[in-house]
Amino acid sequence: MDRYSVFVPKLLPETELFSPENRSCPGCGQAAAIRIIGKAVEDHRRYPYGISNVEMHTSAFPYKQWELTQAKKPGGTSLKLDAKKIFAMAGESGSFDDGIRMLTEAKKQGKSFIYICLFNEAGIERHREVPLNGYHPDGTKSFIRRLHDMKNLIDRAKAISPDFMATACPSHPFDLVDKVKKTLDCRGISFLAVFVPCPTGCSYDPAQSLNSGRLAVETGFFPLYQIEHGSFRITVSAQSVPRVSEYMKLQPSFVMLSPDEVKKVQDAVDKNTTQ
Amino acid sequence: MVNKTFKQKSIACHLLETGKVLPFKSEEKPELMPVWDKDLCARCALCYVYCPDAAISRQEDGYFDVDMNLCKGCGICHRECWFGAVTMQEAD
Repeated sequence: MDRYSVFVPKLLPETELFSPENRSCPGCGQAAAIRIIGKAVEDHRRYPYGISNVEMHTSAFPYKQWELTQAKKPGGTSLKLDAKKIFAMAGESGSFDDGIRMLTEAKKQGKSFIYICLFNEAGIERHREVPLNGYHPDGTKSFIRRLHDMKNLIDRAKAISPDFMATACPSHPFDLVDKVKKTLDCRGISFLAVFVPCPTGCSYDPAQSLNSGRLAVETGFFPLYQIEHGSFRITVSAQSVPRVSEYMKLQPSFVMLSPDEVKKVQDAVDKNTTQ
Repeated sequence: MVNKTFKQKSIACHLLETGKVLPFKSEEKPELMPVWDKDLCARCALCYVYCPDAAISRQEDGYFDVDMNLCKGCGICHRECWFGAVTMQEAD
C-alpha cells in the first residue's frame, strides 16, 4: 500500500504557500515553521504577509517568497483582512512592540484575531524580551543574570486570556498543524507561540536544528501546551525527561557555563514546569 | 521624450510589470547532497515534512528525491530519517 497517500496528505496538503527559493540559512527552523503553517492554512488568501523578521529573509526588494497570486499586500501593516478574520505573524521583538497591544485592542473590540509569534531562541538582535531559553551567543554570562529579570512574552499573552492559546514547535509538525487549524476555527482572539531553532544564531550544526527544538520541548525549556477556553492541557509529553545539560551540550555557546550555572538553569526550568 | 505613466515605468530596473517580482535563485551550491537508499526507505515522508526548503519531492514510484537547485545541504533529512535511508554525499 502506498504509505505516502495514507499518511501525509491527510494531515498536510502538497501545496506550498511558502516558496522554496527563500534566502534563509541552511537548517532554518523559521523557514520550516512558516512552511508547515502555510500547509496548515491551505488557502493562500488567508495567509499573512508580515512585515517583521520573517520579511527579512523572505521578501528582500526584487524577490518574493510568497505564493500570493491573488491577494494584495496591504500597505504599511502586517495584517491581512479576510472573512472578518485578522491574521498576523511576527517575531518576538515585534510582538512586544505592537503585538500585545494589538491583542488587547482586538479583545476590547471583540474581533476575530489570530496572532502567531515566532520565537527565535538565539536573539540575534540584542533584546531582552525573551522567555527562559533566551541568551546571546557572545554574552552567555549575562544569560544567568537575565534569568532573574526576564520579561516573558508568553506570560503576558496569557494575562490577556485569549480564547485559544498554544505553544508549538516545528520539530513536532503535526502538533503545529493541529494548533494552527484550531486557531483558524477559533472565533475570538487566539495566540500561537512557535519556537523556531536557529543554527546560525546559536552556532551549531544545521542538521541538529530540529533536534534542538525537540530537546527544548522535552527538557521543559519550551513545553508544548494549549489553553482552550481556560482549560490547560499539555499536548506533547516526553517519556523520559532529559536534563537541560543535554540541550546545552548541543550548542557551543553554552560551553562557557560552569556546572553551578547549568544547575541554576535546571532549577529555573523545573520551577517553570511544575507551575 | 515619451511621457510614461507611473505604471509603465520600471521600478529599480527590475520590476517591469506591476505586481510581479522575481523568484530568488542562489548561485551557491551546497557541498553535500542527500542520497536515498531505496532498500531502507519506508516512504514515511518524514524527510518531506521536515525539509525547510521544500527541496524534497515525491517521485512516481513513491520514493523521494531532492531538487539540487533548492537544497542547501543542511542535512536535516539525514538526521531525522528513522530508518537511516538518507546519507549525505559530496555533491558533484
